[in-house]
Amino acid sequence: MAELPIQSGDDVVRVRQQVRNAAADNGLSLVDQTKLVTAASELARNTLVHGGGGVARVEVVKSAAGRVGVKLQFTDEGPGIPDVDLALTDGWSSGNGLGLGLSGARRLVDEFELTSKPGTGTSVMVVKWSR
Amino acid sequence: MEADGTNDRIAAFLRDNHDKVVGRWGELVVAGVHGRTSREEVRRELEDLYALVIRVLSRADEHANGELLAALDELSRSRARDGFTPGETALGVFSLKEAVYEFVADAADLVPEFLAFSRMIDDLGLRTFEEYSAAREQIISNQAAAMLELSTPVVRLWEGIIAVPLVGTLDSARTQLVMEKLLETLVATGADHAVIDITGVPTVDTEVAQHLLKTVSAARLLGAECTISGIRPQVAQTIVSLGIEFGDITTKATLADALALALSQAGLKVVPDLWNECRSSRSGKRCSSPSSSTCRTTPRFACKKTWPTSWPPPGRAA
Amino acid sequence: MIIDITAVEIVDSFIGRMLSTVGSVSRLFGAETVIVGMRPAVAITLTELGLTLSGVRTALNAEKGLEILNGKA
Repeated sequence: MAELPIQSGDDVVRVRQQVRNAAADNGLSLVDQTKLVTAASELARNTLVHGGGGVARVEVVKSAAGRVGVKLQFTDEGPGIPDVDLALTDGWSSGNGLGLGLSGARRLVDEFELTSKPGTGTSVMVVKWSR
Repeated sequence: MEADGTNDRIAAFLRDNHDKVVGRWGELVVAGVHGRTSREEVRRELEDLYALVIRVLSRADEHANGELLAALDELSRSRARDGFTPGETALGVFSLKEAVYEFVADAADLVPEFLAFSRMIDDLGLRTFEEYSAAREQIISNQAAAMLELSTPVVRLWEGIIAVPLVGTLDSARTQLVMEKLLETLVATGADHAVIDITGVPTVDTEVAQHLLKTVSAARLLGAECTISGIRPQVAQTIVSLGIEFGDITTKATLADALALALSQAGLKVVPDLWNECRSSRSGKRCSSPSSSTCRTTPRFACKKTWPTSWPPPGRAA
Repeated sequence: MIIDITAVEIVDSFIGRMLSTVGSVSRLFGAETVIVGMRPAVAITLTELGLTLSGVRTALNAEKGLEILNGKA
């Protein structure tokens, strides 16, 4: 499991590279790799821009059925998201809720979990499985 | 999976009665699979397993357990591939218990160890079942993937025009594959027009429409224009009643119409070949000479083949 | 103006919006922009994100991109 700080634009690039390596090493197809790294880029940027900086965790996981996957966690102690439902409004043709790229990122991954408390911070967990 | 307590006596028993027990075990296994494997093959497999079981029971070394599990897993997988039922596969393991029991039934002092041995065999039997299931799941998912691949061809209709005939339901997994293949083909052929034919898609609802829209968007990002064809009257009605908007995407009833449109957008036109017939006789029969320059039967103005610049044709006086 | 993104492996919404903006801004200056060489994986990802880059022209490669620009010029 790797833990990376997100405090600058360069950190976002480093997160992308780390995620790309993990995805490639664990049998994700090229398209799936691209999707995961792009989602990571979105979420890392959010952490930096809206969360005031935070931490990214990259982990390789195994499902009960034996499939391998890559799990990412983005945590910050920023202002939090007041209306999570609105932020996650899924409308492919209508664009996303608050422009945070969350609903878009959600479509790119297989599992998506968001917890946010106004005043405490936000945590986003995503998983992409290999086929 | 470790046998608990001392199992030296049962290990010794197994060693001493090797031939009898393995022989009986073999008989039970062959009977269980209704003779689908030969005695020799079965005997060989069982010999290996038997030796490993003894090693595990006598705690000869620490690798014995791992090796036994690996050997069993491999056996389960090969049974799964060869089409044996999971019951037959597990029976192979449980038969050992049966075989040992037949010879141990009278020896009262072996009973406690036999019970521990029995539990160990139960665990191993269950494990073969699980390994078998996992192997079958893998085979099924491989076949599903192969089927998906096969049912998504991308064909080249003309220079710069490709077509994706979709047959069957269009779900998100299929859409992903269609997008990947379509885009790869666009890059490989340098095509700038794609026709997505949905004649073979039984129902078009909002979800399917969205998948189509996604596919078109992706193709447009690669500079290709898309047309959706094969919209049958009932489908058209459904689309209108559901309020689905295809926006600025051109739709055509048939693949032929879509092809004609794509050709005209490419600056091409399909015209009848007027110059094919040499009206050398009243019946309008085709000119029999192999090329226009050798046509000797007709004056220049009548033969509709494209005529060479010289008159008369070679070999003929004016 | 041709923007060749053949070498770009990742386009997230930030970069995507930037590309759209470049297109609109250059049009204000009377210059047309074409983005070429998008990788299939990137196109699929952008589509999934909901970014269609409708404000800017796209082409398969620089050659086709130039055809578009010359057609307009």
